[in-house]
Amino acid sequence: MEEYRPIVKELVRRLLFAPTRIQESLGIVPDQAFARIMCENVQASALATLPVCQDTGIVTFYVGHRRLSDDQLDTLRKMFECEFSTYARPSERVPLIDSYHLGTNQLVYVEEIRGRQGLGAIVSGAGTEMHAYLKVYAGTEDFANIVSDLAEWVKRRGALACPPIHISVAIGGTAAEATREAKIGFLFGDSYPSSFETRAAALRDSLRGVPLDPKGGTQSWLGNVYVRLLPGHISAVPVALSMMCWPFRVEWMDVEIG
Amino acid sequence: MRLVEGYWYEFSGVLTIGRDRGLKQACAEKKPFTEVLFLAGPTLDARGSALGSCGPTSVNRMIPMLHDLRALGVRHVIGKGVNAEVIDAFRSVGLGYGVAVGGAGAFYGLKIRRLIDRSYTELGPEGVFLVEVVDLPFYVVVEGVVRDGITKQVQR
Repeated sequence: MEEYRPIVKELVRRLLFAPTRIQESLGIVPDQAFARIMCENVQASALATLPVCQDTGIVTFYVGHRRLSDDQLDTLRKMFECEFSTYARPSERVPLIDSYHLGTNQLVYVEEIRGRQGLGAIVSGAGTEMHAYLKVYAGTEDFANIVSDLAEWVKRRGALACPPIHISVAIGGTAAEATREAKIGFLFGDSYPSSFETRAAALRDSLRGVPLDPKGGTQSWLGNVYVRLLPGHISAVPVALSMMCWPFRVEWMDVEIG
Repeated sequence: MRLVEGYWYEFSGVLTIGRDRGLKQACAEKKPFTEVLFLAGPTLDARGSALGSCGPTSVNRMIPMLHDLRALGVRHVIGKGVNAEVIDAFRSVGLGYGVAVGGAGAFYGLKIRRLIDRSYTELGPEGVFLVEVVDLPFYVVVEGVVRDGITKQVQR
């Protein structure tokens, strides 16, 4: 598995010190003062080898492979966890669950990706996880009501994260699958049939009209909106929304694995 | 100095850094605070400098503690996140509130010049840190008054 170490190191470097998609946020900041501090932050992070943001919460490590064994997968996870923990803040478990601190360990979950070869990761600080959304609707629900609920949620929670924020929505499947898929939207973008385009556009337009100003104003600091549609059942249609803060710590590297 | 809503300021001096568990514990033990409280939990830099990255954390989780924090000496809170509930909470308690740029952890970390004291070390980054900062910028959302340290209005 040692052959993957340089790739894992590069993945961690990008996540913590040089997020490759950060320009998708910096390019839309409508406030000069914020933009200046954000740019200085990116430079400071790279120069001082300090994480671009200290808040690394829980990391999801994605592995797209053909035939790794469970042991090999675990070795890969440990390799990532070790490299990430060298620089990041350790995860803090909440007193509701257990009352001790984890020391230097970063909490990392592994997700296997089907149909792709490579390594990736998404860093989920409080700004992204705390403001996530999941609601299950009847299949007969008017789509406009779902859009309205999502817009209300983004309005209530969006400016508590770190705008500009990016949104990923998954509709369908099971509640668990929709939540997982919403996050994967940040990695791989939209996924829906062309017949859904009108509704996806209505959803994007509605979310882009939401005020999301970290200074409490009325401007929208919304960046990308990804939409993914899953096969579902008429009796229950889960809708999940995931937020990504402006440092956009989402990386995927195409690599032949296994 | 009166901090006016809608303006950027920079604070230089001694302030407290804390969040969630550390603040809850300090409030329960009635520990005195500095006038300025920066809601954050830093990376603990293993290379020995003051602290590592230290951007603001969301204020909404700390709203239930605002009364206690004011009673223990806090006059102005710097964090991130604004909505009507947050503004109402600060106004009703009589605390000033300013937003720092969320996600700018490296930038704010480098504003920390000196770690003076550290409490609740068992909580790691969730502990409470007394630090000296220089030119730490924030945007005032709810006005307040700060007497300690040097607070200057700046054009950003």
